[in-house]
Amino acid sequence: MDTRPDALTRPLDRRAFLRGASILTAGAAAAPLAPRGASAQARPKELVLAEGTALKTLNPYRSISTPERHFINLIFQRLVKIDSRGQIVGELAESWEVKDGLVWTFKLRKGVRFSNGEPFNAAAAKAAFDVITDKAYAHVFAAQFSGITRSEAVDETTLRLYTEKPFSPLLINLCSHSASMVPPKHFKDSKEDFSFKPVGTGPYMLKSWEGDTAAVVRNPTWSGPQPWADSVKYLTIPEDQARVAALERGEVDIAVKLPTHDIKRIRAHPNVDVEIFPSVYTISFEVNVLKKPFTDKRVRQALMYAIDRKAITQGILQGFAEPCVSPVGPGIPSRRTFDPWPYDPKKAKALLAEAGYPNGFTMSVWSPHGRYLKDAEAAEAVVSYLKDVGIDASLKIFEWSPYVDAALQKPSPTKAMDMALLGRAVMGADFWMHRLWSSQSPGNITGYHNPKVDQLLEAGRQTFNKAEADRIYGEVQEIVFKDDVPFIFLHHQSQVLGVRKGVTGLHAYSEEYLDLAGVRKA
Amino acid sequence: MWRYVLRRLLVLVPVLLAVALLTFLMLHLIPGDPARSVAGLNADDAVVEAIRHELGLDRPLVVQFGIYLTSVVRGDFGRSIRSRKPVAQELAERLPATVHLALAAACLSTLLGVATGIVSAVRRQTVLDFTVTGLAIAGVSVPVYWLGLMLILVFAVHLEWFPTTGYDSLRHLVLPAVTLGYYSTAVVSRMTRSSVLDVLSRDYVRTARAKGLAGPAVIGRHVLKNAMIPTVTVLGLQFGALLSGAVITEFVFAWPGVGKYAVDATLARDYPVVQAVVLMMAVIFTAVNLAVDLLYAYLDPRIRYA
Repeated sequence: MDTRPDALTRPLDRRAFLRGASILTAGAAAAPLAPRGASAQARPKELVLAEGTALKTLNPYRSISTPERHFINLIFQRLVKIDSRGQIVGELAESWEVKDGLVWTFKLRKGVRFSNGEPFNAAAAKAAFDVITDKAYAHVFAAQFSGITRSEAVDETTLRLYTEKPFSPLLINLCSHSASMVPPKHFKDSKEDFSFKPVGTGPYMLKSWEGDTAAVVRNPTWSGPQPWADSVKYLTIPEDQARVAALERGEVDIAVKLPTHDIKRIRAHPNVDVEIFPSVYTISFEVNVLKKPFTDKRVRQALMYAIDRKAITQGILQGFAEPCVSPVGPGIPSRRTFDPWPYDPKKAKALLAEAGYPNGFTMSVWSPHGRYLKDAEAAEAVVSYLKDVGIDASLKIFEWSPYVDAALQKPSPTKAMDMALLGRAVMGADFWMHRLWSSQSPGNITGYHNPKVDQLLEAGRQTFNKAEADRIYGEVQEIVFKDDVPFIFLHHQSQVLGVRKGVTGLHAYSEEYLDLAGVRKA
Repeated sequence: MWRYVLRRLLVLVPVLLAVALLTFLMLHLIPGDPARSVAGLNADDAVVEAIRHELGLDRPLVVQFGIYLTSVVRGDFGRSIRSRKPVAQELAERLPATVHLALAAACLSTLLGVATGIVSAVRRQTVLDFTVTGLAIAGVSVPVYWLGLMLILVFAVHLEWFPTTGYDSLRHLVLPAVTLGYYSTAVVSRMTRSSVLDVLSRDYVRTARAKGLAGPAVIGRHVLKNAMIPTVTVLGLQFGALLSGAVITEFVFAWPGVGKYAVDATLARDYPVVQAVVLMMAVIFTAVNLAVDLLYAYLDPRIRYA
């Protein structure tokens, strides 16, 4: 069947008609010979995913939107990856070693080809790293790879990466979709068209992408284990209820981001299952600690005590979030968990008085709307909790683009922001903690500066020992979460997915992308 | 008449120039940074700066506008900042969907609106008239968003007559077209009813009846043609409303048209996309208006264009 969108209005031309007619007659002639059930067997096995946001780019070096990773990870591979148990394993690299903490040698798999036939070898990998580290190319996650000074193709299957200083987080950063391997010739020829003409070494390749619908089919050069589905389709259904309706009707196999207030009803549907996965997304208010009165950590601790997180996660988020037990999200290596902060308005008032604000102060609370689960609603609740302890807080809700602009301004005592609600979700202890809490990091938007934390974070980059890393990052988390609180931590979000009964093997990574290659349908 | 058409088309040039300039200025004046929206929350300022440079957004506004105008004149709308697809290609993928939807809704509102309007005027103060009036009031009052979801629930999920969402076949078109067209149908119906009522009380209608013409002939030949001018005006205006009103309908039904695309582009400050969509809408809107003006002359021979 012609499923192109214009099929319904386009007049049939003669050739198309003849083509259709010849297929029909051929089919009619062949029909008596075909064994029963052959047609059912021949029907392609298709998996349909409904997302809330459309794909913008499938260029792994340009993609910032998590939903794009469902497809980027089907089309592309990286040297190393994080498997479903959270372990770093080789993907295009068979093995690797680090010498003196400065030279990383990767032994690459032999005989791998991109779906367009280009060979994957050390030269291709080097070309990819040349792009990734090219400042003029403006790779969106350049910060993850800024440690790399040089790459070298030693022989056909040996790649070396050099760093100036020991930089242990490099390995986990290489697991990111943003370090996917691209075919050098096609990447160069297609230039920015690579966004919609992606080519990789993964199990699938892009077949079509028009409007908000895209589809991948099996990659003929793929030699790994074959996934169940012949093709995977990506539908964009932005309206929550419409996405649920499509799932209930059976038009889609998997629907993401179900509306939390409707889960009870969806669960009761005979053909639909609801699956909950932890998400790395951690929602906090990031505080301008260079601005009075937030310079005093007792004030920040008072804010922590003033908020009833349990009421917010149960009442507003319907239980699809957990009060923060760590400053980083679940799934981050070296994560340490603590007791959640209790709701204690009395203590909050006492701390405010101690800091010299017995009658509170005036402040503004910033929030986006609809970016994270019930973000503005949670912010609204926080404002009323702050009022309860005598702080005259007012809520300011922004549209996303100017919001990010204002919130990401360089920290200073005159920056407009008092505190702004943001969700953080990046993989790797260093990429999370160093970015946000090192005074050396351009990603530090709060102005937080603790020499001890700075020192630990630098030490973390230089240790290649897991136990040592756990200790170092554990200490950073303890200081940040229990004492300094440059962020007013709220909650860790959950992922709520709906699947048709009979769909098995679905795994959602905590960064909120799905491993679709492992899914089967009964 | 052709001279008139030509003159109207020439007027289009300054209109489009003004539209381009205003859109450009408004986009650049509102806060928000396209380079940041491309780079995301976790990118460093250095990366944002590099993207800004790559996109030419670090140049003076006048230069940017000049470059934009000269490329548009050559038919090059540039590339989307976010997707890097040529804007012309993205529009070519999406415009047909919106036009299908708007046309279907316009047909629906014309046929149904005019028919129900005539019926309720001719059968004034009957149950039929009250029913039509009731439905019309519902039509202008019901939020499009809610109506769309209700239609999906009833006709797609429960009755399974139509698919819930998507853009594949004629069956996919029905629910979105009804959702989008209901409001216009109601407006057209009310407008037709009142102008038909107005004409029905005219002397020439009484004369037509007196000379023994049958009811349908009176309505068809004498009443309708004279009653159509206000209705045609409303239809023309409604078509513009349909194109812009398609945003919500497209959102609810996951219809891959330009409406939702333009809203997303505006939120992400995707300048080239927004500029192209606004220009295109201006062209369509002006063309529809011209068509309406020409229809006047057909409906009322006293109107002449020179």
